[in-house]
Formats: sequence, C-alpha cells, structure tokens
Amino acid sequence: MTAPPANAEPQKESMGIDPYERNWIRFSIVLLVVFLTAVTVAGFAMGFQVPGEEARVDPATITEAGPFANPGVRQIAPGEFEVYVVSRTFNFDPAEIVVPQGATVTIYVTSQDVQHGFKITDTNVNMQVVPGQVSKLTYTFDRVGEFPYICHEYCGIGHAAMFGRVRVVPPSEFEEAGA
Amino acid sequence: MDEPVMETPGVDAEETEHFKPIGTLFVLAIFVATIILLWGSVYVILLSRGVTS
Amino acid sequence: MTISIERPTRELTDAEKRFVGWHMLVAIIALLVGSIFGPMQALQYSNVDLYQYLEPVIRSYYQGLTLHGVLNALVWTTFFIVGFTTLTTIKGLARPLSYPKVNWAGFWVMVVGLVTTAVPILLNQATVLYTFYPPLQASWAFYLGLTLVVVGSWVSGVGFFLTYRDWRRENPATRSPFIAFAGVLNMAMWQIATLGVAVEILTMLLPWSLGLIDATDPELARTYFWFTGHPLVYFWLLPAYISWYGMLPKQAGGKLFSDSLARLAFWLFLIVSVPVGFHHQFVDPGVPTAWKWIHATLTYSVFFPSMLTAFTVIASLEYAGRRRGGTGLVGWIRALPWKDPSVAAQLLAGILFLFGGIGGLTNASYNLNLIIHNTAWVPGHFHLTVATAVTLSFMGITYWLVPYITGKQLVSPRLALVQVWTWFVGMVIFSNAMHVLGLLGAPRRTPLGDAPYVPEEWNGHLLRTSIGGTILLVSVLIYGWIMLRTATGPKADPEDVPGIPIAESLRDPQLTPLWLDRFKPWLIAAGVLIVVAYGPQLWDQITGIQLNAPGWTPW
Ligand code: HEM
Ligand SMILES: [Cu+2]
Repeated sequence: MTAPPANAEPQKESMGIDPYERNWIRFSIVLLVVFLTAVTVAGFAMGFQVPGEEARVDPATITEAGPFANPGVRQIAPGEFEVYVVSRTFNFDPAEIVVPQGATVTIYVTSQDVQHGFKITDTNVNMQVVPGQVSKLTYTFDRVGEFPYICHEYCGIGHAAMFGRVRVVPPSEFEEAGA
Repeated sequence: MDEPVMETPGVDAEETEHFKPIGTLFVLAIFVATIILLWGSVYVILLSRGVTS
Repeated sequence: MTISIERPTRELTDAEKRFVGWHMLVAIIALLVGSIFGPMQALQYSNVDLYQYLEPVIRSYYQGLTLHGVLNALVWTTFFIVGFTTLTTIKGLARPLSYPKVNWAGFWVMVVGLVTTAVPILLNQATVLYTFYPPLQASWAFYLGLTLVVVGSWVSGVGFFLTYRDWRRENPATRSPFIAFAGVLNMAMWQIATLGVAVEILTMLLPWSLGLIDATDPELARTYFWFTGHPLVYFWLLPAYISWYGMLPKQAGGKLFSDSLARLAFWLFLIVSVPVGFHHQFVDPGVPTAWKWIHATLTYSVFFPSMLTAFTVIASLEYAGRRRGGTGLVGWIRALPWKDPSVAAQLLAGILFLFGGIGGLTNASYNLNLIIHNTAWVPGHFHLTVATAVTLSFMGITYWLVPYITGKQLVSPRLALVQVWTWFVGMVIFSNAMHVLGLLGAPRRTPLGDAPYVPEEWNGHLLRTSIGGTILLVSVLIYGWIMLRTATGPKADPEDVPGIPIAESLRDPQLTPLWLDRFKPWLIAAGVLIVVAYGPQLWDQITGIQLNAPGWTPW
C-alpha cells in the first residue's frame, strides 16, 4: 500500500495547470499590481498619507507640561494652524475647533487614559489614539461647514457620546471672531 | 465526450482534456468588474476627501 | 503509468465521533448564545433596547458586545475548527490519532480556558471587547482563560502533528490526502501566529492585571496583538476552504479541479498570512509608514491565493454542474444541488465571500484605510467573511457532520434550506447597510442609537441594519432548533446517515510535485518572512518599551 508497485513506470510530476487558470493567475497578479500602484502613487506622490511615527509622551504628565497642557488651536503662519487635542473618557479637549476656510491644520492627538479614535467626518483624517503616543495628521479644510470628530475606539461606558466638532468658517467671519 | 487521449490509470484523461472552464471565467469576469467598480469607487472617495500628510 | 497508490478508507470509531462531537457541542452552544447579541446590537441602532430584559446579568451594550465577539469569533470558530480538522486529519489519513489522550487533553484545557474567560465577562469584569486593547484592564482570569484556550489548541495541534508524522513514516511515498494535509497546515499556521498574543498576554497583560507591574505599553501590545489577529482570520477561513476544495465538489457531484494549485494556495497562506499585521495598524501612531506600506504589499500577496481559490473552487463546481447536465455559460450553476442545505449554505457563503474579498482588499489598501478604519464598514466586512463565508460554511458542514457523528438524520432539510437562505438575505441587507454607514463615517463598537452626533442621513441605513439583524435572528433560531432536534432525535437506519464527503481530484494527487507536500521548506520560508517583515520594527518597539499606561476599567 505504501511503496510504488514494482511494475510502475514513474510518470512525471507537474503542476498540471489548466491554461485558463494560468491566464487567471497572470491576470490576478496584474490586477493586484495595478491596485497597489494606484494606492502607492496616491500615498507617496499625491500626498494621501497615513499617520506615522511622531512622538511619545507620558500620559501621566501631558496635562502638566508640554503642548498638550494647553489643548486648542494655534495659528503658526498665515493659513497654517496646529491643534493639540487631548482625548479622555469621554470627551475631547477641545470639543470644538474653529478654523477659517482654506486653513491647513496639523492635528496632534493623544490620550490621557485608554485608547480612543479620532475621525473627522467627510475628510480623510482618521487616527487611532493610543496613550503614550502622539498621533498626527495634517489636513486642509477647503469647505465651509461643520465636521464632527468622532471617537471610534471603544473606550468605556460613555464611548457613544464622545465627539467634538471642527467648524470651518468663511475667512471674514474668522477675523471678526478675532481668533 | 471523445475517446480518452491517454491511458493513464488514476488520471481522468477524458475529463482533464475536455473540460474547459468557460463558465468559471464568465463568473470571474463579473467578479473582476465588480472589484474594479467597488474598489474604484472607494478610491475615488479617497481622492475627493483631500490629502492628509 | 502513474504510481498507483491504493488509498485506504476508514470510518471514524465511536470514540472518535464522540471526540469530534464534544467540540461541536461547545462550538454550537457558543454560536447560539453569542449570536443572540448580534441582532440586539443591530436593533439598538434603531433605538430598540432589548438589553433591559437581560439585566442584571448583562449590564451594557459593551458587555454584550464582548460576549458576542468572544463567543462567536473566538469560541465558536476555535472549537469547531479543532473538532472539524481532527475529523479531516483522521479521515484523510485513514488512521487513528497517534495519541488520542493528547488531543483530549487539548480539548479539556480549552474548556477550562473557556470557563475561566466566561466568568469575568459575565461578572462585567472584562468588558474589554474581544480585542482587549490595553490599557483597558480586564480581570486576570480573562487573560488567563484566553491563554488556556490558545494553549489547548496548541496541544491538540501537537496531537495532529504527531499523527501526521507517524502516517508519513508509514507512507513515505504517498501524497498526503488533501483534507488532512490542509488541516495540519492550518494548525501549524495557528501555532506560529498565536506566538504574538501569547507574548502579549504572558509578558504584559497577565502580570499587569495581577498587579505585578503597574503599567503597560499599549502600542507594543497592539503590535503583538495584530501579529496574531490577522492570521487568526485565516485560521477561521482555511477550514472553510478545506470544505470548499476537498468536500464540496463531492457533495455537488464533481471533483477538485486542481490538487496542486489547492496545495499551493494553502502554502501561500502559511507563509504570508502572518507578516501582514500592520495593515490593522495603518492609522496607528508609533509605527513608521514604510512598515505599513510593506505590510500592505504583503497583504496584497495574501490576496492572491484567494484569487486562486476563487478559480479552482468555481471550476470544480462548474465541472460538477456540467456533469449534472448543466449547459451554457451559467446553466451549470442552476444544475448544482441547491436543494441540499449543506451545499446551498456553502455556495451562498462563497458568493458573499466574493464581496467580503473586495472589502478586504479595500481595507488592505494602505491609505484607503483612512476612509473605513474603525467605522461600521469593518463589522460590515467581517460579517461577510467570518460571520458568513466561515460561519455559514461551518453551518453547512454541520448539516452532514452532526448527523454523521450522532448516527441520526438531519431534521427537516427544508427548514435547513430556509435557515441558509435567511442567513444569506439577512446578511446581504445587514452588511450592505453597515458598509454604507462606514463610508458615511459611522464608528464601530458604538451603540449608535444612543449617539448624539448621528445625522438624519444615517437613519435609513441604521434601520436596514436592524432589519437585516432581525432576519438573522430568525435564521439563528432555526439553526439552533434543527441542531437540537437532530442531536436528540432517534438513531437513524445506517443507510440514511450521511458519510463524510471527500472529493477526488481530477488528476491523481501523486502527480502533484513533491515540493508541494513537504512542510520543512515552507515552515522555514514562513519564519524567514516573519523575521524580515516584522523583526526590525518589533525590535524597535520592544527595545523602546515604555511602561507608562496604567490600567482602567471605565465600564
Ligand atoms: C446573528 C447574526 C449577527 C448579527 C445580527 C450581528 C451583528 C453585529 C453587529 C451589529 C456588530 C457591531 C457592533 C458594533 O460595532 O458596535 C457585530 C460585531 C461583531 N460580530 Fe456580529 N453579528 C452576527 C453574527 C456574528 C457571527 C456569526 C460572528 C462570528 C463568527 C460575528 C462576529 C462579530 C465580531 C467579531 C464583532 C466585533 C466585535 C467588536 O467590535 O468587538 N457576528 N455583530
Ligand atoms: Cu473615546
């Protein structure tokens, strides 16, 4: 039952791939390469990037010293802003971010306690927020309107209520508010 | 089906030689069109929502 | 002239059937209990609150969601898989387990682990969801129990390997029978994959929950977790593939289209399903974009064996359909035995898996992940994969397997067909709505019925989610009823009890190249790829460990 019978002539082993299937294999590879190229070009040439390594912090001391001690929006150059956001159960500080239309905003988020999420509706801003780490993305707000940022990681019993808002206002209104 | 081409015990020559999976290709063609459409539409959403760096 | 090898057949002994049966019992109970929460969650989206009736046992949506994830995604799957691949191993190899006591030990360790995990969850001391991301801190018993479940599955796996080794010694020249080969491979993949979570729990979470260390490093924990978390989905999927490749063609009246490509697909899963975990961390801080991109590329390569599977499985079915008299481009589809609930379940599971695959490719696509990460899209996606491609296939398998091991007849195959179709229809509605909600920005893991930010625009989709969930509830209840009645029904005439379907392949498997039937080179390749794709970044995170996040229990 185990050894080949004595009279057996060995027949050549082979993959025995059906020609149709061979073509499907080739085609699948091409399809995947095309898709991968599309996302790579979007990511590295057109600037649709994901967050990377930024900085580390100590969750115990972020509210005492460093930029997260004063969460909020700061203008750093004409049309350029940065905002530091502290996430904690169950709110974001600040709960509202007001910027003028066209503002390029660099958003830094960290957590004071457990993991949270930070996703601004209708934009590509989406970050996991992890205590001990700073998440960062830069985004230009071209449209006037309200864009909620929603906590998308389970963080405890009040998770469903955890959100804030970006208000993008016309430049004139922004000046008037004297921000 | 036609005559078996080879007499090879254990190998179903008749079946391997004559079965052409065209129906499979047809189903897969629809599948690929769906992949391109659905994946492509998410890609378009990405492009429409602005760059993040 | 080929090397004709006579392939012996052997039925399972009563003791072996009992062994498999115990796994099925635990698995199915877990599925039935865990699945009750799914429709409750879906109804919560439309503000129908069923949780009030479960108080004081279940105190929140999140406690229910923890049970849903753990029971369905971890317990149902793991127990079913260990039981089912025990069957495919001994049936395929036509020999008993070499050391049945080892496998029994594995089972009991898993059961002890299950109970140890369940107690703190039910006491609301582990409402951390099935991903248990620190610094949410569960009771130590939760982590210990999960560890035991994994260790138990390792012990069973060792039982498989020893059996396979002995068979190989007895049969040096024979190609391993596909269903046995694939089951053993899945266990090997699982053992490699679970190293991540084992290290996470044993070096970080368990000592931390016991108070031996004060704080933890949540990002490192995430990296360990996803080392296991992605191959976990292949651990679920491959047993369904075993059935699609190695059994379904027989049930449908055909043969496996290509034994060699079936094996190639499995080997590719072994080597590329682990080093892809960063695709779950695309939007994480603390991981450089270069590594994320490398894992995106590797994830694309693990999509390839599923493309192969699509062709081979569909072609096997086409072959079956044509033998049954089906003609034309699509006539063969109608000619398949749709009246057989086991076949219908797997065909419908396969159809939805095509869509699950498209969603998966989207998730894996690096920056496209910005759109859907942690949105309702993600549960929408994996209810097509684990909760349908896998679960509905497994249900289909139980439609012959439970009668086989109990010596009974399936109660009401027609009702089983209703079950299968309601699952399909419910899931189409549910998952489509969830995908759309995700694209609109709805977060996952959130009782959206209570969320203050929900815009009007989402309401129709939330309602569709609830409708799909309700249809699924009907399906689950029917399934439970059929299983109960089948298992407790009278013994059937042995003639009427289904056997184990094993598909022949179109070509003699002896013609499959030897390199597709040897574990060593592939295991080495898997190890090398892991070191290359995970080593440097993992090393950075381990050497840069900062234990500064204390535990929280905000539920
Ligand atoms: C009976 C039909 C089912 C329905 C209606 C259902 C419904 C749901 C819903 C609405 C969620 C999302 C909850 C949220 O993100 O807030 C969810 C999560 C989940 N479901 Fe299901 N489900 C069902 C069956 C299953 C099955 C059979 C499995 C696995 C085998 C499964 C695995 C999961 C997992 C892993 C999660 C994620 C839990 C988490 O985020 O922690 N579900 N389910
Ligand atoms: Cu939160």
